[in-house]
Amino acid sequence: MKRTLFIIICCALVFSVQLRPFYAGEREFNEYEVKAAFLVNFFKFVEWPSRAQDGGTTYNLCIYGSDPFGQYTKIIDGTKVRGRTLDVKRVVSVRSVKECNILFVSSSERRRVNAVLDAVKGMDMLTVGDTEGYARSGIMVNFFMEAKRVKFEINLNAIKRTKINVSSQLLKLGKMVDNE
Amino acid sequence: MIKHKKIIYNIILVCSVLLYAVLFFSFSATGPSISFAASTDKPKDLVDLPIEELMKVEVSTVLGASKYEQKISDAPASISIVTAQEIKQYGYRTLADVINSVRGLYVTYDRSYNYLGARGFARPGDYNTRMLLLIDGHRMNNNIYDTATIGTEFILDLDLVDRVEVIRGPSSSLYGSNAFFGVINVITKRSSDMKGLEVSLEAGSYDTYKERVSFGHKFGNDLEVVLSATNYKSRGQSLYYKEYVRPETNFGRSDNNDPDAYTSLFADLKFSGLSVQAAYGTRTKGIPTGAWSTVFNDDRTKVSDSQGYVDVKYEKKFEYDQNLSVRLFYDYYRYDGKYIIDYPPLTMNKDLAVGKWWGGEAFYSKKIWNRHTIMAGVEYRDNFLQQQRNFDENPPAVYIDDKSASYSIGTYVQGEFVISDKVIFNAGVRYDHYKDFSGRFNPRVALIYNPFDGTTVKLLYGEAYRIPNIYELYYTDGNNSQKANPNLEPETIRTYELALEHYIHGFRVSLSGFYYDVRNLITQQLGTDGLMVFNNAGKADGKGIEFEIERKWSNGLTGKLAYSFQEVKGREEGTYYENFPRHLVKFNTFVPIIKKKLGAGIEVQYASPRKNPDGTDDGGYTIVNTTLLSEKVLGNLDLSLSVYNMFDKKYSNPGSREHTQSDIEQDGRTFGLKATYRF
Repeated sequence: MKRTLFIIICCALVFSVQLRPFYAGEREFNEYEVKAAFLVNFFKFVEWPSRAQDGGTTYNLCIYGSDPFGQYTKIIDGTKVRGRTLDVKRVVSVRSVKECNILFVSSSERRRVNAVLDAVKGMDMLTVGDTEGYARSGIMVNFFMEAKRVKFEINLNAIKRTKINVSSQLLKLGKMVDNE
Repeated sequence: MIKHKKIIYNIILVCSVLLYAVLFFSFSATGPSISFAASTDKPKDLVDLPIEELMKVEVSTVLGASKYEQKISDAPASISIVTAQEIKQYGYRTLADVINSVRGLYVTYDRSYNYLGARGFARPGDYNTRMLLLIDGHRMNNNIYDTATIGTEFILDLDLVDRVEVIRGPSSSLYGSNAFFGVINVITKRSSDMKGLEVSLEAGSYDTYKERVSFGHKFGNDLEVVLSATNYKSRGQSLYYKEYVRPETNFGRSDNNDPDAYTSLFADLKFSGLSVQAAYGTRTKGIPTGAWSTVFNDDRTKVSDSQGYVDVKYEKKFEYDQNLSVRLFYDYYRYDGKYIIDYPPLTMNKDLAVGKWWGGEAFYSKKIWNRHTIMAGVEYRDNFLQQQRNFDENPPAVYIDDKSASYSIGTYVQGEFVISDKVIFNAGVRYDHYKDFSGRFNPRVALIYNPFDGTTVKLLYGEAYRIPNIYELYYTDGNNSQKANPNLEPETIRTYELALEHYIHGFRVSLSGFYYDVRNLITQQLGTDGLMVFNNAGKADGKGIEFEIERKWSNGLTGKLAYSFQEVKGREEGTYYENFPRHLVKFNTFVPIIKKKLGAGIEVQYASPRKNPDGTDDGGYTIVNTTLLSEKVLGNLDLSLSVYNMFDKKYSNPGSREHTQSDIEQDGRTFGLKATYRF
């Protein structure tokens, strides 16, 4: 009897709910598609000290190490943010990161992350990563996954050591992490 | 009642077929243009979203590429992971189904239990003692038979599993006994994966029904709760065995002796660093094969396994990357076997085994100079009850009534040393002391080399051991079919492995080769007196090659092909090592039919012939399983329809010595229908 009731309820559910167009429902996105959108958003919340070489027309987003974004960087490459064109670059050496506004350090560099951070010391760029422990190592913004959603932690000390200015609106959305 | 159920079952089948037809039809007309439009619009949408909204966007994969990559490539072992999504996509019902999909592993079913084979090793009469089974790190192998339960007797409903990690190779350096060929770590879902109340219903061939109610919620910032209850019942099949074709054994027909039923309960509470987990499961299975010299076709012969545990864990992170984890646990296991035996007279013979144990574990890890990681731990286990009873009901007779107790203490250290950007050296050792056995050190060393981005080479060496369990040592059924051997010694293994993993153009390719040798192997043998007995039967060595290629495309299409070759040889006359398939091929693909809404999971498994105990072979098999999965079809309703052994391939698995049959025929084509609704 219990089972019969269960099955009836189930059938009722199947047929009572109105068929609605499926594509309008909530969509699920790829992890790196979302992270790419976050990176574009970050440009809206960060002020860099003006530099002579960038000419004020572009923002440079650099990806250091193996690129986990795949096709999704193509989509954000060339988008306009605060009147500037976003330029996505893949950098292979720390010597070529000077012009980066945001430096995304990929997971493949996890054993070299301290060396990378040493090399960019004094260059005013927002360092971003998505690897456990990066924020503690000194990466300023580090993505992590929580309940299938992309969240990020912030190392405020690392930001304070540079001349870049991060809006409090962004700071309050992140989880604060101390460095050692 | 049975007729009634059949009608309902048919109604469900018809309903689901109709529903699929409707879905297919409505989308074949408008589907492509919509999905195209959606795919070009989508990224813009995301970029334009305010950052607060972005934080709410749900991501389709739980295991991020980074997490996946991190775990697999740095670990001192070769690892396979099966996720909850794959469990859904391929319609896996039990842990045995999951294991059967993993490269190099295979499962044997004798209609009582599922037996696990790894690296060509699956000894007759072995209840999965050489694989350590963990649930969220809690040891599941019981203290009587050492069983790693993987069939319907597994304590958890598979729907509660977030992922299954199969860690190949000896891991006694961390876990002690049983981690002989590897470790299966089952990780349960968190409250965030459950999202409120969930009801799931399943119906399948041979009057199989499963109902599950689960609840998961995060209260405030800290308290996470997961609760779940499952009830499962299957009438089972009528079976035919040619070995029992005589008139007095119903002309080989075994009717209504194959029922299977389980109940399983699960609770998990997490509060900041503290987590309390409790689980209980009980399963009863009829034995339709006339095993253990029981009377054929008598439905009073059945086995039941119950298991429960409470595990309290506290984890704390200290500054300077220090972690401390303390665990306390209490475990309970009970086995009831009922066997109708015609001595004569016709008698009910019963087995009762009760195991109770508690213990604790403390584990500390620290990162040094932000590079190297060291960890150390200590584990104590007190088996305060290990009881085995075998007796006849009427006329009464007791054949064994043994109550013993034992304890073990183990300490271990492991270090991960980053030698350079490209080289990691990992070494660990554990020392175990058992009440009745001399202590032993088990080491493991691994050299992990990353010559280029996306390429990892691992050179691994490990030792493991397993102490004989009290079933192997003391059990007898009054010398009806089995006798004791209290002089057994621990068995040991040494394994060498070379593994290569490479990511190229979105493909993950892995290739590995292994060699192992086992000494003092504990194996069941048939003595000259016609009784089965466990002996330390000399040496065996095995070797093999495993290859796997996998790709996940961004539109949801996935494909995985795995091949493994394995060979085991005994180095002593008269021992039986041949029950392994030389070749295993596994192919899995999930094909999205309507973006995010409907897809098909197809699984092909091939195994080359295996030797049966009587020297014949089982002929090997190729089977195809197919699942149609509709996610979020109506609001939060998930529907799936699975056809197992789609082409109704007739195949068998070798039986072990308690069977008269040399091999046991497996299921033909069966169906499963599942509906899950989240409120």
